[in-house]
Amino acid sequence: MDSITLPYSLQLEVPFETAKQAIIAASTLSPDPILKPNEVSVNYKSDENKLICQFQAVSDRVIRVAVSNVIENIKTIIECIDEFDGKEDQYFN
Amino acid sequence: MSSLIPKATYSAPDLDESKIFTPGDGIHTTDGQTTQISDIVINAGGEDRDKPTEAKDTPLGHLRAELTTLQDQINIFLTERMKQEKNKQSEQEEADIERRILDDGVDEDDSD
Repeated sequence: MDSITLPYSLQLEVPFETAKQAIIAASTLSPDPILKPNEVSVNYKSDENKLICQFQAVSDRVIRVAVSNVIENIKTIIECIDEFDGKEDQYFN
Repeated sequence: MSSLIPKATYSAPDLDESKIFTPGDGIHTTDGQTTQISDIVINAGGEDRDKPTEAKDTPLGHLRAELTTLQDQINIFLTERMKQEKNKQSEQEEADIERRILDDGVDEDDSD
């Protein structure tokens, strides 16, 4: 993606308790397709226990929508991990 | 205080320095200012059926609340920038119309 056409950028760093949780978060977000790749790009990766989301967009309006939507998804992921991680015996046996 | 602190770094062509967002030391909740249903619906007695659950008293629960604060900060900051950009565009359009009328003698209502 040509960064010149997407001049507005935001990097979001979300630390988790473990590297595994950060990998789960990145893997969960990654399949979600970008609907307008000519207007916004989002890259997800994990670095140790951190989830790193890199947004680039054509305008403030577009980056605001993308960032807010992804944060909503991350909050759901955090809630799921908080509820279920390490509790396999409790919930699935 | 939570040990898991989210952070965001924003940059734009018109900013000399990046803007860094951190939740800060205040009270954080999952009930975000910018993610609720509209004031119009609330004032009409509407209920937010998708209201998030309260944060648990765990490191991840605190992270979810702090991330909501960070989301509010980013949304408010970017909304303000969008307003400023819109105002700039309106002023520019007014200046263009004024210049065309005064300098070129163009009458906007003249259909010929």
